[in-house]
Amino acid sequence: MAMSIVSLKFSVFLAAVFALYFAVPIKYRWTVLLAASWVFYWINSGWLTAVLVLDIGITFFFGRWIGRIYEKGEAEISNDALTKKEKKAAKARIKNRGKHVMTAGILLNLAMLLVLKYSNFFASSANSVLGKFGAGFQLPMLNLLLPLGISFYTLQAIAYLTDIYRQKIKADTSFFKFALFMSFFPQIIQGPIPRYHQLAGQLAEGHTFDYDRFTRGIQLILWGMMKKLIIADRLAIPVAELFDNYGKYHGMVLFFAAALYGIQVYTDFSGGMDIARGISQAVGVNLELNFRQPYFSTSVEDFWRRWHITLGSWMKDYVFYPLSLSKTFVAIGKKSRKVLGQFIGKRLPSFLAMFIVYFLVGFWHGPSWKYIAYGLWNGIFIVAGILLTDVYGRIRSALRIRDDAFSWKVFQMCRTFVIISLGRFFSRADGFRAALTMMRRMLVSWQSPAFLLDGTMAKLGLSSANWMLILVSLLVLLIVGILHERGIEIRNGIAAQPLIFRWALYLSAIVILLIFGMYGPEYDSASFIYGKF
Amino acid sequence: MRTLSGKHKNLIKTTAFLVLLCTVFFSLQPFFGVRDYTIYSREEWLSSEKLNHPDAVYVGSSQVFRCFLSPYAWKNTGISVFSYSFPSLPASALKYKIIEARKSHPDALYIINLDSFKGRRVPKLQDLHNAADYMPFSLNKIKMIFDMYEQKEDEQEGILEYFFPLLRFHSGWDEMTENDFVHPVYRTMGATQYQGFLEDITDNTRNLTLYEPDPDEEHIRDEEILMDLLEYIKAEDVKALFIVLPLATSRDTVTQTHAAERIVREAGMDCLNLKERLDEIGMQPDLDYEDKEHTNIHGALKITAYLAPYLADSYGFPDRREEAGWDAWNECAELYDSAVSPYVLDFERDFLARDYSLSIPEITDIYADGSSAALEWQASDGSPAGYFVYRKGTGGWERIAVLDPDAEVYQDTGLEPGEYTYTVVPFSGDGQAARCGNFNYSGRSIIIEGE
Repeated sequence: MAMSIVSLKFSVFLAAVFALYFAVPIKYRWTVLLAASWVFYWINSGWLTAVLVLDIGITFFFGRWIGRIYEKGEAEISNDALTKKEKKAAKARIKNRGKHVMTAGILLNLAMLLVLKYSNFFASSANSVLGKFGAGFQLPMLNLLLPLGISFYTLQAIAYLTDIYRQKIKADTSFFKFALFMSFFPQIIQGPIPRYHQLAGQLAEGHTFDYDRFTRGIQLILWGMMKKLIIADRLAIPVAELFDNYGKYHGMVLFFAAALYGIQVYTDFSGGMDIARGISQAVGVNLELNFRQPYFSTSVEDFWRRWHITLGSWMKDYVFYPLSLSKTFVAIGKKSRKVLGQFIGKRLPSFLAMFIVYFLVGFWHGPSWKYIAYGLWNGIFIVAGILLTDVYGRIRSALRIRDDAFSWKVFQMCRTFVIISLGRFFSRADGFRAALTMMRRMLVSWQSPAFLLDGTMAKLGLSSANWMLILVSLLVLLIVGILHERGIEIRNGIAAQPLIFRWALYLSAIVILLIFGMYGPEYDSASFIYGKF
Repeated sequence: MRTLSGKHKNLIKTTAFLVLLCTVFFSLQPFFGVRDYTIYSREEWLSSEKLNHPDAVYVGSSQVFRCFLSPYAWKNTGISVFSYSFPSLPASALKYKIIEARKSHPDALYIINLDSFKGRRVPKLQDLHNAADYMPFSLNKIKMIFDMYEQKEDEQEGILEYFFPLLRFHSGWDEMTENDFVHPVYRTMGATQYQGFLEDITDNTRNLTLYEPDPDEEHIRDEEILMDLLEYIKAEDVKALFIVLPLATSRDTVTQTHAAERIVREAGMDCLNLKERLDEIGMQPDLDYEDKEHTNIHGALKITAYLAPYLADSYGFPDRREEAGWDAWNECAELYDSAVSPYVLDFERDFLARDYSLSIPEITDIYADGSSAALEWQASDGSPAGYFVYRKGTGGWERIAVLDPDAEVYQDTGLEPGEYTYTVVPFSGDGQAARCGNFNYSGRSIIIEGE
């Protein structure tokens, strides 16, 4: 049994949660969210809920442990009998103790993630190496079931423990409130990855019913569902056809496939985010923005500031800065400046840290070499972008292109889109090799874009009416994107409209979703018409 | 007057919005469904035929509307029998369909197709949809869906899609035709018979074996459903006639319907087994079937020609053709007749008496000679009083010659260029009250190229 967030079942579940949330006294409203979260998790994962609860327990326990070390330490330091020097030493000792506990907590969390998500990858990678050396044995494949959202809540837990260690936050004292933070149902499956100080307080306090806020939340849910059900799930059909049978198509079509997949992933993922944020907003909780018109990015670096923002900022706070500020990296920087000169030498440590970050970003996406390649592809282009800044500047001035010219911006956006789309071969193709083959075909087998009109499109599993629908939807998406980019909040405009307009808008949105969404049982209506009695 | 607080206002607003939403949602349903407009028209008939009550309502599966042709029963005997039937209607749905029809026509005779009690299988997905999609919303519909769903194989799929076809059929939006938008208001002259049957005219013939029931088999797999139906009929005092159609289904099905028939008879209900009357009806296993479960148009006309007078006599149904208010039935019978006429001969359509002792004259040769066509045949066994020669050009069949019993060749002259089909029908009795025998339905064709 499962309950997708775009199913009818989920809509009913959601309605019940909303009703219940606003029915119980404010003080206890958070318990409704916790119960809903665990029910949701249970429906989707069954007994794997135990893993989630175990993870929560471990993190809570270690958080409290670090907290107590600091509490005790404070008492120790406030002892007036100590000299300044002794106090400093005590402080360092306490911090060190906290660090050990934090490290242990993080390692436990990571161990769970690695065993559950990555054990097969390590085993099969090791086996292929063992095989090359002629080893007579193979590591067993565990084929463990993956608890839902483990990649997300593990990052959440690591951030929580680190923040306590860094004394940015205090350890939570209520297990159940902490559990709610770790398992809040709108975001547990695909984020955004929240930080404790940003979310936990909002969840724990009860929120009164606010008609305006509630309807805005619902609007966001509907918008997210439209993105997901009308565009993403529809595009999934031709994308699957193209990626599964890439041998049949020439390079131009394959690039088209990557671009389509880019749109599919964006609409699916950001649609999911809108739903999560909409649900939260309806109960008065604000989740972090995870996407900010990523396809308007002018560079790969910019793209990663707009795409999956909470993952990027997590990596920045908990990997990139700790790494580049670490003693080892500082030492590398000093040495490299001597050997490689100012320009590269100064940047080498941060480049190194960046590669590690993008390696991790790729690896985090899934236990496969193709994801690692996907991460590194992005890392390479970011570094290249930084290195080539001067070159670009010179080209620009030679061609007399203004930095802020619209055409230059459009060129940059297209360039970024192409780079990002090419990288998607790694994330979507069946495997690393398939991705490389597809990329090679892009170079050697290149034909005109006539495929758009010669009937190839109709063989990808969508009728022309469906393609038309996609085109129209993308146009709407583009307009909304431009408005957002200019800082215009559409929901404010809607709120200013009279009731009749608003209701007509809601009703049409629901009807459009019902008719044009790709939901419900898979079926081919033709089989019903022609099916013999 | 006290003003409403924000809380109350919101509650009223929310309720109003939900009501509006439901209205929109419900009104969308008729546009989506199994996309079989003949089914839609049959459901629609129940509510549209308010003024006149039919003499009988036939309830069952597709076999029914392919065996018994209401427009011809009307045309020839003036009895009004409506076929409230659905493709592969599960036995478990029969009771609910009768309840549904009785809401509008409580006093009609309900003719129940016993072949539904095949005990063959759990309902298929589309059987459920066919039975439920266009049925108006009521408690009865809810009960029916739950009852059928209970017996469905795969319960993984949601039951809601049977209440709201939109949930399954929404992706058909890009295949929608004009029909989808017109059919909710599309009523074929009250009787709906014409459109509802048109698609099922079939002239194909397949040679089939008619099975005998296994006498040792006592067990009927659908017994519980049948007992429940009988109980309902008794309790509600429904005028009912159970019927076994003369079909060539499998031995198992024949055995099952046979056992069902026994139970019905034991319960003291009217039961008519047409399978035992094949000779009277004139059904020929090598001629009158399209497939195992359906007759072709010729077989259907034979059954109708037998059953319609039987019903009129046994139940005293009056001839309503001259009664006021039945114009729609006249009109639709005419339309249907004109649609069928290319496939059948005049005496089939007019239910004229037949003589099945006469064998089919085999056409041995046909050839063109300028603007004329010549055909030769082998004489019919039995003792025909003569032969009718029929010709089909661009229109329907027409009788072009009455020949002596010793005739074995005929020449048709003065033909325009084109394709012509001929068939030869033996008859007994004299020319006025001729009783026709069987004949080759497809005839022999020839192309006249002209001189």
